[in-house]
Amino acid sequence: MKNKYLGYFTNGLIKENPVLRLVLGTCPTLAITTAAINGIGMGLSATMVLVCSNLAISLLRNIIPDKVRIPAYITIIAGFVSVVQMLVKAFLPSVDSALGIYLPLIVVNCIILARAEMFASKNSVLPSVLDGLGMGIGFTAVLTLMGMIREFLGAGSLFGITVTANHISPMIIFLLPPGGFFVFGMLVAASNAIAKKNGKKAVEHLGCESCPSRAACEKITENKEESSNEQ
Amino acid sequence: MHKIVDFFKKYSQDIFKPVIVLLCICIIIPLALSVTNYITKDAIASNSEKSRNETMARLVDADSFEEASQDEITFYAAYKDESAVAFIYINQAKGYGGDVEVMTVFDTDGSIKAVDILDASNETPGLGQNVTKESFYSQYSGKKGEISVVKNGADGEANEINAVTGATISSKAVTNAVNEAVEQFNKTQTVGGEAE
Amino acid sequence: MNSSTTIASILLAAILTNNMVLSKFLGICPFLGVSKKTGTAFSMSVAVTLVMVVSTAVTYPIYTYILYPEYTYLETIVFILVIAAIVQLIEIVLKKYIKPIYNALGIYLPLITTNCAVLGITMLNITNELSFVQSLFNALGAGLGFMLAMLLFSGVREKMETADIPEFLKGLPITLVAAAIVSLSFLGFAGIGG
Repeated sequence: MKNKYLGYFTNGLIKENPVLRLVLGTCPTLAITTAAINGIGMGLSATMVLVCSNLAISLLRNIIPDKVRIPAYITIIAGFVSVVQMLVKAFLPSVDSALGIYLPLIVVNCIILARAEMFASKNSVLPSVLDGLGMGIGFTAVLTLMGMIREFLGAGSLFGITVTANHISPMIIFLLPPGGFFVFGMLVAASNAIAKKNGKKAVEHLGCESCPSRAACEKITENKEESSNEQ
Repeated sequence: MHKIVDFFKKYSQDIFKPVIVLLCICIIIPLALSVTNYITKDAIASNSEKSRNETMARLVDADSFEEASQDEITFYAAYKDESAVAFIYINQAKGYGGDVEVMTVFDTDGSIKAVDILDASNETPGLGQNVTKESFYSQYSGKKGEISVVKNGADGEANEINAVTGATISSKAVTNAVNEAVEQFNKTQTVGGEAE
Repeated sequence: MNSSTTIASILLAAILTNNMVLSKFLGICPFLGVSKKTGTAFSMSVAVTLVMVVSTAVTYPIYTYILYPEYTYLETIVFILVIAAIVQLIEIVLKKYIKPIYNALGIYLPLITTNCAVLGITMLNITNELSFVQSLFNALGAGLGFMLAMLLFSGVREKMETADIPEFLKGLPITLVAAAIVSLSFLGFAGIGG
């Protein structure tokens, strides 16, 4: 019994890590990881929203009619995002100015809507909260790791403390947009290699399986392209 | 009568329930938000006020700061022992990703006492945002008149400052804001005298 | 940005220097997901541009006249709901009155509701304190910038289909590396709008 609950929590850490395995929430992953500390700020804000929205949606899962569930979820998520945004603005102004517009944009972060749709709407409260917590921490971990890599290579420091900048001129390109795409690509390649070694499938595409707009997206890719997939 | 009951029966599941649930959510959530807003609004307002006033207090040793306005230019005059000791201008200039907000403090003789960057959050982190480092903005102190930016080796020259490596645009933005302050100072203050 | 910023410099900045996808990282999902073929990439960007401009036209007055200054904390929730409603409305109107356009763009619209580029641009207009007209052009520029990035990238990807890619990079990683190189080319535009 206990193991089952632990499973809900650890699921998001590695096996279904939202960034590297499900490939959700790529926008903030690329945008704010110019410093490790930003990764932590963004990750924890998103975790808070994720836990709260999973909790609320799982509580309301029998009340919200299926027809209007998406607008209902979006409203609930937007509510929690605004609350977190105000709290961060009030008590952590430096985090607010570092994250800027990406803080309110958590509302369209697909991780949150995806977990609401895939998990919280089908499971009871405790598993949903644990799932949100695990996913959130998995998200935070990858964001922080990516922030550390980019900060170390691009600014020669870690968490704001100068490490190599005085000896080796830092490669500024890693702080700029191309560096974001590149480091993320390498991280996905590494996680794919590890997954393959353990007999799992490599991630080849965006997180379509867990994307809330999958149906609409597939319609496009199937209608308009002579897809060679046998499906 | 019969019809109305039927109507309600027929549509209660399909239409009324979704509408009512959505309506409830749309009432509860903004209520929760307004409560949070009520709790946090003072802290948020004081954060932005604080950073401006704190910066002024940090840069100038004075008893009081008074906001003044002349020719549609707003500035602050710092008083100590009832005489003006410094004038403070806040200006914005376009940087790499948006506006950079700069505070320029002048001595009464018109030389720059200090410069501080209030907001450079739109600049590239780790690059343009390095203008917020003291090693950059302290270069402005003591300069007088229009300032220009050079890429290397400005140390000897009177009115040149070194750009942050790799961030010429952000450095120029700060300099533009400072130069605007210099212009505004010359318009609003009589050098050597006090604000009228 | 102050009020003297010209329309041309706003357009240039939104398309090139502050490109939605390549420098602000907004709308990465469609950028990576719907850019396999140039045709789809183009239709998707037209739909995004349309929704961006219409959303800005609606959210800007709502913010300026209703939310500001008392209720600015409702910005996020109001904007996302308004955008969701607008997307639905556009879909209905197109379906009913302009059938050819609906046939071309209709399937893209449901994807746009949760597209962070649309919400992002409406919020950026507010944070950058643009005027109404400037906001509209900023939204138009952002849409065109999105289109430019999508078209360039779909061209790259069509070439990549036949390329010999190292095993460990196959799939998503090589797409991201290609995106890195495309965004590298946009760095050259730095400062052009200033």
